[in-house]
Amino acid sequence: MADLHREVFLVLAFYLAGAVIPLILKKHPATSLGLGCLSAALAGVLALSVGVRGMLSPEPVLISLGHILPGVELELFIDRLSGFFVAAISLVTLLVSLYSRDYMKLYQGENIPWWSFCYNLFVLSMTLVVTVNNMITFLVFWELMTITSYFLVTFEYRRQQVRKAGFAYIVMTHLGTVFIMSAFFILYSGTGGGWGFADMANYSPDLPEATKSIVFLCALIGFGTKAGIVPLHLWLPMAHPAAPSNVSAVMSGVMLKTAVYGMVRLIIDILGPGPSWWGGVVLAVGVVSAVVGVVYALMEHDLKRLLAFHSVENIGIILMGVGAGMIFFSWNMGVLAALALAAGLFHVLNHAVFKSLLFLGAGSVYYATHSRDIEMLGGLIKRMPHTAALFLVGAVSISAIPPLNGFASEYQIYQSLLGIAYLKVSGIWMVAGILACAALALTGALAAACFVKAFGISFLGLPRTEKASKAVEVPWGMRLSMAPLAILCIVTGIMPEMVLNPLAAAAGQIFSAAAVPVIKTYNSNLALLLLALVAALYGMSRLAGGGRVRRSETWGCGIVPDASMEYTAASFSQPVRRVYRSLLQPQRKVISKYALLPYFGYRIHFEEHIKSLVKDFLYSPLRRITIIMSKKWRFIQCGNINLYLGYIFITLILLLVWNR
Amino acid sequence: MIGYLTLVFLITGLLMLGGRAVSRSIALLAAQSLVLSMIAFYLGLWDAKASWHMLVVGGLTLVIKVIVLPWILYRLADRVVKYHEVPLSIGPGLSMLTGVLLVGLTYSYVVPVLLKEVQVGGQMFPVALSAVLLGCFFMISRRSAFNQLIGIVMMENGLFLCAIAINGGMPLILELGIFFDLLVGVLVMGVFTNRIRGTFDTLDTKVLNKLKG
Amino acid sequence: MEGNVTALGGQIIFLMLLAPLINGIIKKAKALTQRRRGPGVLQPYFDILKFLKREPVVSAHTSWITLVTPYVCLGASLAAGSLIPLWGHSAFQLGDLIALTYLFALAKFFLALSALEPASAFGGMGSSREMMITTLVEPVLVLGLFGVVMVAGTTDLAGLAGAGQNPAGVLAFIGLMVVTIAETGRIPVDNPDTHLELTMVHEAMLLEFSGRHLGFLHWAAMVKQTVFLVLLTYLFWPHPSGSPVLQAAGLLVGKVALLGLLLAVLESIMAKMRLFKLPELMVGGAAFCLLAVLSNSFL
Repeated sequence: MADLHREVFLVLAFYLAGAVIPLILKKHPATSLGLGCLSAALAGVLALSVGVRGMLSPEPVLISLGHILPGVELELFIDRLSGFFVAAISLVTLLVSLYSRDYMKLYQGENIPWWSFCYNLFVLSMTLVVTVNNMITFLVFWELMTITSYFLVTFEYRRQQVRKAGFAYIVMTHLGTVFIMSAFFILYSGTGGGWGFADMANYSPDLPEATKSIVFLCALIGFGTKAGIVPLHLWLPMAHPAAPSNVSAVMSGVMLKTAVYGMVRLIIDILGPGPSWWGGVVLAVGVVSAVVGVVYALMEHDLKRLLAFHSVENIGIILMGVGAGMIFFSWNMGVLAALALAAGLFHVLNHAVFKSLLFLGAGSVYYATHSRDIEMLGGLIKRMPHTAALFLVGAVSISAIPPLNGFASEYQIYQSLLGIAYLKVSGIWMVAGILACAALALTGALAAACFVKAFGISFLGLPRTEKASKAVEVPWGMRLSMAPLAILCIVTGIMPEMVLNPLAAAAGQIFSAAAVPVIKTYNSNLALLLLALVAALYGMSRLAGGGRVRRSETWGCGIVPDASMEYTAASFSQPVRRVYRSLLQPQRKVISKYALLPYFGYRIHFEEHIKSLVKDFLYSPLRRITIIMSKKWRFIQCGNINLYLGYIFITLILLLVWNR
Repeated sequence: MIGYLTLVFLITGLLMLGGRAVSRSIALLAAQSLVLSMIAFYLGLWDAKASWHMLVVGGLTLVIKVIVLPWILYRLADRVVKYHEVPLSIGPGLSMLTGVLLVGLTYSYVVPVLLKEVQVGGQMFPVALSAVLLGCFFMISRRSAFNQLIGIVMMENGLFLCAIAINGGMPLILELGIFFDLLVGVLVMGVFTNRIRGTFDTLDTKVLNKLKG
Repeated sequence: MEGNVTALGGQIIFLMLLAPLINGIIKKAKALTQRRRGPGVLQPYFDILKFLKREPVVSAHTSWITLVTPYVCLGASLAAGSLIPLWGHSAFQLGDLIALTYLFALAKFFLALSALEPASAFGGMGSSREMMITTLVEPVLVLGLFGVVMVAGTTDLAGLAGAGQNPAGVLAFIGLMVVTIAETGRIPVDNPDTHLELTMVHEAMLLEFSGRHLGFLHWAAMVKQTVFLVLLTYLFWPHPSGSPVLQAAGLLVGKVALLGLLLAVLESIMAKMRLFKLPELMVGGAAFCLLAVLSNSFL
């Protein structure tokens, strides 16, 4: 595998060049941005080929890059799982890099070379996180990924909201990192056999059950924070709208997935089969995240916050697949486990594709109208037909509607969940499997409702503001870099076996399952049938009365309707808000103003807010407790430098005594 | 056949939880009792193990619970129930769902774990136990004294099915006693509700709080 | 292979032709229970024929989405119907139960979008309500269907004929009947006969459609209703396998018409529910489906 060596070095070189060159060419912003994006894209192409080859090769590839610390070697270990994640990351970042070349022109006057630097390092660290094979290097790149993405989130640091979002992001993900580190260190102290993943995997079966469960919970919380599971999702809807759209596309599309990778690697690969409640917990977390995420998404009017909540939802769906896989694994059913995990991983890819497409679409809308609030948009399909069509493809995909890819992966997850019920292990599990299916159906329906709203309000109807009515289509570079994502949505939707079978093989490698059967799907037949039927019906209609269509004004009971009469996003989601009020707790305030009588000449001020239960019942009490505790401990912070030196000295002595 | 019948028994119980109207509850109660008598007849006629008692019991059920009791209840309802719909503590949808959860609890925990030494095949036993729980919940979730009366009869139906499921019914004399108990009980309750209505002008059990000194 | 294609095509045409008849029967039965004479059973055919001859007028604010929606809706409904192997054409896999339910979601998605297009408040209202109802219906539908599926151990429709013929199936059937009422826009949920803005859901979305387009959408709604009834008969009351095609078709029409009559009677004896009472109804349906799942799991 000598040639992979060369490519990996080239990938590293291109990313590093993309990071450094723009800083050197700071005086020429346009060139520096172009070069930064170009070299990221080139690296992306190479990394994609590395990833795909890693995913398809039965033998893992090991590439050593030398020692970085005594006893710790920087090694890249690309097995099928890592290969898949490298491929998914590079695929998305490749297109986002191309998109950014035009999109970043929106931020003229900001420090664009700094953006290029962080962006390239960010992508590089993501690529390395999913390929390194010991925990020290994993943590190093994990932190690098967090920090570079923090700088990308706070790119527009002059706005206070952005700084706040960045702060929430960095605090929460660091808390998560603490849990990941504890998981690693517990494993290390338990095995004492070295920092490598392989060593740990060898020793972990000897660990006591309780220790393993603690490691599992630490990993779930730690990686879950990064992935944005409920109730640790709070940073997601803050950070995504703060970051530039292309960065959100990468963060939501692939950075969250590195956490999924971490979970699969640490929990399934290293810890091995655990008790079945592990899988049950992951499944339950998935169900809760999916439903809660999508219900809150439906309430959002900020296009990017809406998409951020959908990331929570889709992570939940992915975890449903992973959880099902863990349940099967605990029952020693390698093949079924592999199929379930493959379903989850397939959704990883699909979500990466359609979510980055949607974020880029939202970016294009922002580029054209300078607005992310869908109440300010409308009628964009006339002015930006290509963006609208691309966004529609993403919307249909994420709503799990056949024949696109969201349906293909959710279908596989359905089958895995049903598999739990088919096995008849115990009544509880059967009911749990079916209930999870119902939750998945609920999620799909809510997502469809949400995207009817998001697409319908922002792209259809009449423009609600002047900005929206004067929008022009975005540059070709942006459209063309979105198009491949849309095509992928369709292709993986119609021919899912193309991706599913390698994924099943990858999952089989983890579970060391016997030959995983070849998955056959009907999606291409179904797509063909649909196409044929629609074409035949159109033909029938042409035969019946020709293709002529007359256009006229909308009927408005005698009034010519204008934009103010249109349904708004708030009114669209009102029925849902009311039906799910126990979860959303909407608070409504209506003030009507009138001069003489309430029936004449009145203005109505209407506002409705939803409450976040998680915030009210989990975070606010926590914050209060923290503040109270801190006040009690404040006396140790007196500002005297000698005292601080004393603290250090005492700690040193204590450590010496401890270690004796 | 028995499977389908017990199922209909359960469905009527669940539907009673899902309704507000008094007349509907009574009709469903009558239907449930009818199913019960059909089960008794079916067992008496076609099941070799069951005795001829079953036929007597079925006949009694038919007469007392399907005809006499609902008739009394209807007349009572006409006189004492002011509104057609009774106040609920929990909405009908949610109370149905709670009912299902109770059934699930019986299926998953009570029967296989708590009562595992009771060796009864088939669905009859868990269904009967669930019906008892449903009747109990029916009484809790309705604030009208009248509906608590209906809930009692529903619980009795469940207990009766339990008895059939465990050992083909109780001794005949005991069963006769229970029937008369029930009849007298309903009459007493009827008089009682009548008095409540007379005193408070409502059947809402909330007002009974006022009796507290 | 060719035989299969013929069977598939035949089934699609059969469903297209059957749907108006079933609708006509329901309408007639409803009229009779309300002591009206009502239109003839064949009236829906004449309606569709007339619609197909008319030139459509569409709002000036609309885009291509409105133009494709009628074809997508009818196409998706027919595709869903053709997945049920009524007389065994399952040689090539087209889809299973999950695909069937999600194909209706495709139709609904496009219809809801096109209702937002003309920028009128009615369409938005219909579309918003429809999507809310969907969020209530879809989980119940899946719960009920999977309550049947978990016994059969497959979602492949070929293996599901008569899978609901057990005590738990009765429970699932009741739950799915509630779903059918909601999905086909019948009375406690929606009123198919009115254009009153307070009650309408489906009709509100169709308000801006006319001519051929409206005809196709009406047809799609009829096909959807028929497919639901056909699915119910297929799961709970199938004809014996291997019966000759004509006999099978006859039996099927009879059974579906019978279910249609049931719908009509239910619709006549019930009053329209307030929109926000719907969760109660659907939770009731869910309770039955859940009970089916519980019985299958524990008994």
